[in-house]
Amino acid sequence: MEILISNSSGIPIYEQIKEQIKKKIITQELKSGELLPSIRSLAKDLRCSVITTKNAYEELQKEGYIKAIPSKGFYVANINLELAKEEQLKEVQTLLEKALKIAKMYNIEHSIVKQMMEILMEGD
Amino acid sequence: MKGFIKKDFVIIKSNFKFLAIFIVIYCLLGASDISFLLPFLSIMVLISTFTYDNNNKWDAYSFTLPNGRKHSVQSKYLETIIVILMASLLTFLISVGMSLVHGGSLDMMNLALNTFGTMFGIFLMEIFMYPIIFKLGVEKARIGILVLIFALVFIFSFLSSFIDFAKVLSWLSFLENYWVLAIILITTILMFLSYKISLKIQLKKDF
Amino acid sequence: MDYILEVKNLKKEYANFTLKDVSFKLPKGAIMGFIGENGAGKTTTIKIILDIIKNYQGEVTIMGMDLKNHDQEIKENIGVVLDDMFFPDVVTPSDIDKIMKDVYQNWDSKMFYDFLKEFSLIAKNQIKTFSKGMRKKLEIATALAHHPKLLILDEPTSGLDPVARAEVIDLFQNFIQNEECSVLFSSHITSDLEHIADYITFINNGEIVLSKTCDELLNNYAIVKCGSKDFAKLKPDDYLKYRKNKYNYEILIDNKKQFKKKYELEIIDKITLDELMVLMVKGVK
Repeated sequence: MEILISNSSGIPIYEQIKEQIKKKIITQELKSGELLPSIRSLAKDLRCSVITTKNAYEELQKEGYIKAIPSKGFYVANINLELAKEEQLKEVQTLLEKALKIAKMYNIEHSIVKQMMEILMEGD
Repeated sequence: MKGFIKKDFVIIKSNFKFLAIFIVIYCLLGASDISFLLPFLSIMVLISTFTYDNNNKWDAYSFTLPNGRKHSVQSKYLETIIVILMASLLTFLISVGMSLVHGGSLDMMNLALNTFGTMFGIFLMEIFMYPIIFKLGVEKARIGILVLIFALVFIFSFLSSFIDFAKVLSWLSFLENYWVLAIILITTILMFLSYKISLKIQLKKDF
Repeated sequence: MDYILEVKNLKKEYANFTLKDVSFKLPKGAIMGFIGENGAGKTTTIKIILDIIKNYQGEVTIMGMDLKNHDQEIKENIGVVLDDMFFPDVVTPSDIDKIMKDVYQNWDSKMFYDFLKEFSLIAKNQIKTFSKGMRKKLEIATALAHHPKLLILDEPTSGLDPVARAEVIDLFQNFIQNEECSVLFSSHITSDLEHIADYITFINNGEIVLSKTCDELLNNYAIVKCGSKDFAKLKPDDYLKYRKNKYNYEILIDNKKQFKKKYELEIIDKITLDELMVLMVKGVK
């Protein structure tokens, strides 16, 4: 598992950790039932405070992505794949909305945007 | 407490070469009165351990160790007493040896008394200086002991103009052979008092 | 919550400095950074906790025990690194091992020598031949080698090069992998603290200004920069301190999210501990 933290992005570190782990769970890079690193060892390996990793895990727990088993640790929860798909679609939607917003700002017509999409999709 | 004593012996050992050279030169210069040298050097060296402690703020650090304050006092008193005893014993043996070498009469009693007297004197130094060192540091203690010696000499010479000390001493002769024991007893009591005072000082000290 | 160290209402008066009512708590398994200007009272507080200063008012409780009555047991479990206070410098690391065996019940010679090896310190050399960095590492090795539960350090990384500092910081994080163990260290090198401190306690002029999680400080506190017109629109309740500079106002807030919603200002920046300190000390309300 790889986690990359940016110190200058303005996004709190615990949020960055949370989002990255969340993504890995959704994409099933982290499989349901898999054991996650302990709060302390994760803090040590990321060189951040224990409170930070604790916050990240607590939020993931609240949102249902991981569950805590007393004296055993944190495990990836059984993710509702529908929920996961929804998250993935939401992410794509957000980026498309952003692109449209920029297009509007520069007065680029929708037909040109559609053309661009098709070229990109063909090239993939 | 053993640890603290070990630490001081590391300091003493590091000065050993210097001491040995000093002693050799002293003897070569034909000094006759060796009975004073070893015990005096011993206490000087032991007092120097206080200076080493001070330079590295060992005192403050040692207070963070278990029983640090108590052990710092106990170790200094114990090691000083042991070293002075050993130095005096060594001095006695050397004096006996030197007399034998020079030929002539071997007055063991005289030599023993000589050594004993010096040892008692050095113990007195310990008794008076150590509480001052614990309270005010080595430098002030050195000055203090000089002042004390001058004061004692002054008082002694002042008093001797009206008191006939020979008479006082003969009055004490009722102790006869027990005067050695009396001195040992008094020294022990004074040493204990000195230790208690130093301990009290050290237990309350702030850095 | 389980606290390994509780400091309550410490008071101590000196001729030109007074420690006034210092209180804070350090939970188990945590690292707390202790920050403040020189002369603010960090060292005095630490000395009181370590029993180097005995004449003071207030209470110190360590591992649930009162320092005044249980100092021997407490000291067995504290590892200490202080600035320039250590063994006489004619001593060698191997001497330290022999001495500490008789001082601490839990002294671990193997661990000590492992540290010496890891730090490339020669056991038979006198401390006076060591560089500042080597000395610090030796002091830290000595503090760790008797398996303490609480590490108390005064400026442990000062004078160390960045590589050595990173090594020391790693040591601290390793140390708290055991949830019963905690670290309290004072430092001016706030970048180290921003990385690994769980809690930050800030002392100024003998008083505790704040004692919070580092996350809260870095995520909820912020610096707002604006002009005088915008500054006039701010309600004093919404900020902590401000500084009027030649070309702008710098404002310290502790409620970034609400502030952003309430005021539409452009520059609401993430804060560093350095900036926080300066604004708290030099800012006005």
